[in-house]
Amino acid sequence: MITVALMAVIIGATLGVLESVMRSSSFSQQRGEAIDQVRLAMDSMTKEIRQTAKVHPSTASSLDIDTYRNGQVTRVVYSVSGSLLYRTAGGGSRQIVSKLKSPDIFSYYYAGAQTPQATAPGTSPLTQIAITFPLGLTNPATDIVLSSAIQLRNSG
Amino acid sequence: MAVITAMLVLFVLTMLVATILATGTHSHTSTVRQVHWNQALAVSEAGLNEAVYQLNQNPSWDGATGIAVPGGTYDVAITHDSPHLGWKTIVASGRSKTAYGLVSREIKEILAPPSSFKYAMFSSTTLDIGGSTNCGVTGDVYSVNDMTLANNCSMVGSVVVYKGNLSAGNNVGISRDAWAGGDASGGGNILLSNGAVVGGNATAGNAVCPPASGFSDIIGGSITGNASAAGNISSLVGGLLIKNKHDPCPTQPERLTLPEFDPSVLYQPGMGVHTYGSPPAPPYTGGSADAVARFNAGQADDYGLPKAPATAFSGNYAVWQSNASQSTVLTLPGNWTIAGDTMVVTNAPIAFDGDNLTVASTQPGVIRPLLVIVSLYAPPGQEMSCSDQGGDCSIWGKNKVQVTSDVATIFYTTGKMAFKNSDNHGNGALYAGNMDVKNGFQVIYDSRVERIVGFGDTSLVRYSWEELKP
Repeated sequence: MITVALMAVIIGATLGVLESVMRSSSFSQQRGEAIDQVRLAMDSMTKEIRQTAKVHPSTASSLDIDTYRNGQVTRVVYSVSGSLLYRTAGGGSRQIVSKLKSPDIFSYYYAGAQTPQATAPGTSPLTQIAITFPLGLTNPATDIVLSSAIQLRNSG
Repeated sequence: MAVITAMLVLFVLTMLVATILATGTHSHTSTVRQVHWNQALAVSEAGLNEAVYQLNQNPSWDGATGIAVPGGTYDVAITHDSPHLGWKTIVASGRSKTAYGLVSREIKEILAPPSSFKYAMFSSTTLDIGGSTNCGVTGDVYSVNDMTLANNCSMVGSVVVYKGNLSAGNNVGISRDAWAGGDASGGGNILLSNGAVVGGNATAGNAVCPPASGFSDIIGGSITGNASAAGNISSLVGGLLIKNKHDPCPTQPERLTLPEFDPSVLYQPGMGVHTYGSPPAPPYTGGSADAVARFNAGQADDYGLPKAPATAFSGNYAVWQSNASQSTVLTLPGNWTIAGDTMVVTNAPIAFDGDNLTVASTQPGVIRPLLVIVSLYAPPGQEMSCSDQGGDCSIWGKNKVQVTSDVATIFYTTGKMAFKNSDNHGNGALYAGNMDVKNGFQVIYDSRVERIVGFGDTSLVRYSWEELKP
């Protein structure tokens, strides 16, 4: 009887640890995947934005640019719909980031100004475009923010 | 039972440790790679900056390989006259070594002459476009003084007059904005005849505000957008109408000047210029007595190099004539085919007064050359007895001048440019000290002529920056 009770306690504790490990592992995996996805998106976006040739009217949730791709000027639009970020170019559109907590991910820095603006282009030359990805993870609810400021090489 | 429990606990702990280790290793690898990825770009840009510095010291510099800098090594290579004459292409590749391998990135920067030609037609004094059936310009048009547009002219772009009147004949269409400026002595009026339409906004500004006299008015025709004037407005206005505006007056446009041409650029390494009338030296007003005659006769240049045939013309030509006048006119052949980028520069007058001039590419659709025609001829005493009937013109087209769309063309003179006949057309731009086009010239602005070596500031500027790989 005592042995059975002790075993029940030990097995219960073990299963508790197991459940906790599984939950932690699942969150860790979810977090890792989210960060990897955003890093990948940030890398490709940074490359395209850095070599922007022209900025078309853009907002905090949508960036419309002409950029170089294999020597050719190509129009690329990044736009947020709900919690998803899409990249549209050459007639095709694909999702590149999910789990966004806010659609306002772009901000624009102009020559001689310290504070960013929410729209582009402006009257002064655009020097930097900043991207902020606020991600919302679940179980447990956790926020992760990744941001990058990109100096435009073809501005002015 | 105890053994089973122990094994279960061990399994759980192993899982936990494995997960932590896998996550940590992945995170470490990603971070290290990210650091070196960014480092490789910085190293590449170091190569680019070095190239720009070296090119400023020595325009013939070709590049370097295996240059070590903190964070990695770079190679940098220069291609001169690429993609166009006088332009330079720099390719820099940077490498950063990590424990997981080599990270490499490659970037390309193109250096170009500064932007000098943004208008389809430009006159640094007056501009007169006649001809009711062949008057069409696609691109913006600018004149410092009065501009006159004949009946039915179709202007697809904006029209700007710095200080003078803009007079548009019957049914002239201006698709974008019209802007004229005046001062205390007058000017700045936009005069639209019956049926003339400004598709954008119309502004008649005054430099002196309020002017003692000479208020700038907008008279007649119709304006689709807003109209704003220091004086009266009698046009039909679709947008906002602001007349007698003195608080402050609408401003006059910015004064622009003709881009200056520096002939010394012709003698930089790689230009391979054919010279007639050496020795060339600033201020390039003199030369030899037979320079134009030898060029017109198709003879070899001063160094014995043959002139390219008119059936496959290309290259750079400088013709320096002593005592240049209307008796030493450089005549361009009636029918050309251009095989590559071509520049003809002279201090003598240029005339297309033989047969009708037709210029085409030797391989339409394959080769799209640039044709630059420059006359620096200034009539003796600076008088311009040149009209659309001829006279002491710097560039004169008696018969029609037709350049196919396969050739991007710019005709440039600091003196007066005039054309008499109808059916003139070309893609590119016309820039002159003064311009008189009797029977129209259909110009379609081509951005290929925007940056041309020798015009404007002689130092090259960044035209494009692009990452090539991965």
